[in-house]
This record gives sequence, C-alpha cells and structure tokens, in this order.
Amino acid sequence: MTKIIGIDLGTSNSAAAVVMGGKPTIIPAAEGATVGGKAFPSVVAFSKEGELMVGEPARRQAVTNPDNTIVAAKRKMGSDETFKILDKQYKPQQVSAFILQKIKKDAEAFVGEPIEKVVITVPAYFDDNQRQATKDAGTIAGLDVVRIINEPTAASLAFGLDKAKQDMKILVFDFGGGTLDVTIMEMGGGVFEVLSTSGDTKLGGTDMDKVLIDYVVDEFKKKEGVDLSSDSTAMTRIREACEKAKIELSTVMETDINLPFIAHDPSAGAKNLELRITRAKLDELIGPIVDRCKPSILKALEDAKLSNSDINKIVMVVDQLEFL
Amino acid sequence: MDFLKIYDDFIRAKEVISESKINADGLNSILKNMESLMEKYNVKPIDALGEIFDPNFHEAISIISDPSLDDNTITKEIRKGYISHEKILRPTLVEISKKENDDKK
Repeated sequence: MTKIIGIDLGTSNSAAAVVMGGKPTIIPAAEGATVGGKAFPSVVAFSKEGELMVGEPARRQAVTNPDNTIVAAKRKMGSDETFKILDKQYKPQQVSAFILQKIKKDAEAFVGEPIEKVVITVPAYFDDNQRQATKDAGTIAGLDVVRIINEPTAASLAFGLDKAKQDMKILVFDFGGGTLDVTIMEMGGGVFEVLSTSGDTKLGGTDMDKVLIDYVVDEFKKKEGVDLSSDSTAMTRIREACEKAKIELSTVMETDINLPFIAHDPSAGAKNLELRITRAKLDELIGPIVDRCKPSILKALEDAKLSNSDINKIVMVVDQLEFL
Repeated sequence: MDFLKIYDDFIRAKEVISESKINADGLNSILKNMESLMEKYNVKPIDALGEIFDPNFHEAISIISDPSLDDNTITKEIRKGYISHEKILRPTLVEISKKENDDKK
C-alpha cells in the first residue's frame, strides 16, 4: 500500500507527517534546521533570473527581493486575486502547488518511495471555494488529494477523540505563530461537525516573543544605559535567547538568559547581558496577550449557543513557531 | 548547534581581548581545540563577506545602499553560518548592498 502523507498547509509555515512503523513522524525539510524547526516556510520567490525558490531559501532572501517574494498565499485561497511576479500572474493555488511540490520532493527523499496521495488540512472556516482551491493546488502539484479535513478535526483525531464512546462537544484552541483559531465542534460516532468558529488573525506566539524581547532590551538599557534595539547582531541573539527562554519556562520555574559580549564599546569595554526570567515574570508580561484570547472564546461559545459547562473537551493546539 | 553558540561566544571574547593588551594565548588554545573538534565532524564555516548573496547558504537580515558594489554583494556577516557534509547547520546571517535606495522600504 502506498503511503499517504498528511500536510498542514499553513499561512506562514507548512508541515507534513507520515505514519512510519505505526507512528506518525514529521517529515523534515531538506534544508534541515529552519526557523520553524522541521517546518517548511510557506514562502515562494523568484530570482531576477526567474529561478524558482520555495520554502527556506525563499524565506532567507525575502528582504532582498520583496517584490518577487510571495508570503501568506493561503489568505488569498479561493479568491480571484493573483500574484504578479516578473510579468507573470500566479493564482494562489499555483503558489500553494509550488509549496506542495517541495513537500512532495522532500517527503519522497525522506520516506524513500514516491508519494502520490495526500491529506491536506484547511481552517474550519474555509468555504467550498477555498477548499476546492486547496484541492486544485494538490492536483497542480501532481498529487491525489484523498481528503481535505478541518484543522481542528485533525487536532482532535490526533488526541483520539473520534474513538470516544459518548458524543461530546469539543473546543479546539489553536494558538499559532501569528493567528488564533477557536473552533467548537460536536463529535458523534467518530464524525465531527463544526458548530462555530472564531479567532483573531493578529494574535499569536510571535506577540509573546515580542513582549519578552522588549522586556529584555528595556532591562539592559536600564542597567547598562545601552540601547540594543538598532544593533542587528545583538537583536538576533536576543530573539533566539527569548524564544528559547519562553519554551523552557513551560517546564521550569525560572531560566537565565546569558549573552556574553552583547555590546562592545571601546571606551566602556564589553558588556554582558545576564538576566533571570521567572515563569511569574513571563506570565505577567504575556498577561495582556492571554486576555486578548478571551473575546474569541466567548464569541465561539455564543455563536454555538453554548455555555462553558456544555464543553466536554478542550483541545489545545500550540506550536512554538515564531516565525518570522 | 548549541556548541556553535558557545563557540560564537569564545570568538567574541577573542575579539574583545585582542583589542586590549591582555594575553590571549590561553583563549586561542581553547579556540583551537574547538576548531579541531569541528574539523572532526566536518563542520566548516560559510564564508560570505564580499560574495554575492545566495539564499542556499546565506540569510539576508538587512540592506544598505552602495552604488559602487554589485547588487546583492554581502557587506557584513552578522552571524557566521556553518555547513557539515553539504547540510547547512545554520545559514550565515548577512547584510547585503543594493545599488539604489528602494523608496518602497
């Protein structure tokens, strides 16, 4: 039996997985370590010479070539809008097809056999047009899209909720890198039905990174009198250290950010950034962001005509992507 | 990857110390040991300065305007990248030049 791969065709990053030896396994991008770990940045670009770049290389050159770089094509799926690059028009499904082709190629190298069949996930709020466009993208990429499934359904399946004996109402809280999606579904006999969806397209993990980065830069400025925000080398190091600290604070109560020689002033000498961050501090910093999730949850409940107590299960989908 | 970050710190220490009159022999010796370990695992730096930007090896972070240079010439290495057995461990983060100032930015 040929392998079927599952693809999360995301706005900023995409990911793919395959069942190998009975276990779901993430398919890594050929480039190896990317910002999103093993994910494929959903970026497509053309060089001035017309050479196509997809994924990580496209992301790396984005600032040098913004006019010929396409990001977030997913937001245009199902619309008639096109991307104009070097006098050629590309439909959103064509752009997505480039990403799917790249995933297919890297998946084949990883699995060691040709890949033809895929399952692609889409947001629960995608209408028929948007779903058809996603299917078309698969066809253009030479893939047989055996199923389009809702992202929150995929998350619930991952937790085995379809196997539950009794019917239940599920709230899926998907806090991504840049967007929040809240979906309420009803599950009965392994079948999921969407009752309501809501969310915030401008709220995500990146906002949490940002408040932590701002805090670290402010603290350093207070202590050493040096503003690092315009120093790209220092900011790159701080961004990485903050992301790492944020992830660590999920399992430990405190962590140290330790960046030697962060600033160097010939008169004052070298300066080191040493800062202890506690989970309480992080909670305080991200408090306003957590509060901003509340209206989306309340709206989803209201639209589904349910109250808190009607929900039997909450599925949390949290990726630590920042992204970029 | 974590090793490379600490190696970066030692390189920074060396840069700072080389500007002062402090003896850096001991530090150089540590760096040498680290470099021989990298050699053992076939980890090589990705040199970028003065070359033309290539997204397969480099990641552009910022752009400056310099009419005297070819477009996409790398003018500064913000953080050195490394390659091992043709696999990029991390790309070199760079600043590149453009001939004209793009008003749109």
